[in-house]
Amino acid sequence: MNRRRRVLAALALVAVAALLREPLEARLATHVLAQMPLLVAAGVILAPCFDVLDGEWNRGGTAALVVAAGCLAVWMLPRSVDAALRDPVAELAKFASLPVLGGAPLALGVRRAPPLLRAFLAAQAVAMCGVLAFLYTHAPVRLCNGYTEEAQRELGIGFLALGLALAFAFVLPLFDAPDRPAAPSGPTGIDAGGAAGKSADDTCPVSTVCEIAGSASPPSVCAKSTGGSGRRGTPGCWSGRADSNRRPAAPKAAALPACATPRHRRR
Amino acid sequence: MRWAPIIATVVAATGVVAMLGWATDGFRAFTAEAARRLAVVERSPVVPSVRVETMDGTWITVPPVDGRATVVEFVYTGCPTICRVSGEALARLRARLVETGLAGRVLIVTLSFDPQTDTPESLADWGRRHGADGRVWTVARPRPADLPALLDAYGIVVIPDGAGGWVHNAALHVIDPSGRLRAILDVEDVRGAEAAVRDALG
Repeated sequence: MNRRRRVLAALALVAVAALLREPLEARLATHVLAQMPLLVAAGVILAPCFDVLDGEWNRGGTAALVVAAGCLAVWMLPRSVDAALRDPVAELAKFASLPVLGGAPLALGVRRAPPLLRAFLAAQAVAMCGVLAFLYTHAPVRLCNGYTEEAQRELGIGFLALGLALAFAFVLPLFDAPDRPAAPSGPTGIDAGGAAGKSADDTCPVSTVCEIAGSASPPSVCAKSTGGSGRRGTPGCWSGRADSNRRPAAPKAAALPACATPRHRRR
Repeated sequence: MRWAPIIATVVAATGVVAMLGWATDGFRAFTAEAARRLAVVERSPVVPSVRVETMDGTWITVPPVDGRATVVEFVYTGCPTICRVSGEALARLRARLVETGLAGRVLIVTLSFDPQTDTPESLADWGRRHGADGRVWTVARPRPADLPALLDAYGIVVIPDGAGGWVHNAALHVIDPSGRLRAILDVEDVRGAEAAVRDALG
């Protein structure tokens, strides 16, 4: 998408949020879980237009993510939601800040976040939805003067649904993910003293490994165990953590030993 | 060590904490109701004086300008839930003020935010049921035209409850003799209201 299209798409989302203001803000659940996400989405679409601002300061994405989290936190406050209903200035601030300080930095942050930080954010998002679901379904007081307790419970149910949806979205791909491979081409027995003497282009045939691992396991068991994931737990065999270099072994065949950190399985 | 992202993150976090602090009055008020009560304690805004028609059919000014403190609450007489609680609480407050001899220096007013439906007759009926005597404690309705500004000045938000009635942020509003709103308390907090009245009388 080019820049102009992005701006138009973002403006379209903001326009939808603005035009449907009345029906969306009539209920707390749609105010928080439909209108606000529309504005955040506008910012996410707009994010590449802020590329010029991205730089070394945003390495790892943390700085941008902190800004986004702060912006979202402000609009999660019950009094901010009330203020948006009653005060046109606050409403305007909502329409401006959720795209620019919420969605855009969210995208700029997630884009540069390392996998660990992304996973943390995913888990955190699910947990936060759970907390908010509990808060809004069980709060003994009305949190927003502009909405009834019934509306509050509805929002709680909404957060529960969102949390479950996010959890499924994060977990379902895991069922499809490749299984953690068992030492693709057989482990080198570094602590068995074998690796030190091997040449760099040794391709680690299973039989060799098992000879190295020799005393612990007979070659046949080991060959099976490395052949299929089902046998990974075979006691007494060498197991290797997945190689950090998973590329095909060419053109420099097996420049690295095939299995970076072999260890002996506990019996 | 890469300093740019660390400094940027610290700056962003500082900004976020400052922003959240600003948005919550220094992490003290997370709801509009808490903010309203805090603002009243800290700034004691002057409330507009309005003419209201009481349950006796007479017109008075609220808050009165005769040196009395005022306790104001808002109801609608068709209210089945919270207004009953507040009615009972006000009856207890009235009794306490009479006991402690403060009754002559305080006016308790229950104001209707539904003046079209709440006629003086229904106000009187509601007052009789809850023990309003018309002297220390009276029930009244503002002119419909004054209502929006009145609710706005007190910070009352009235919304439909979805079953033909209304929901509002019910509370006791304590006003000192100079017409400043000094404290907002939960409707059942009779003790707190009594203390606030003493405080407002100086």
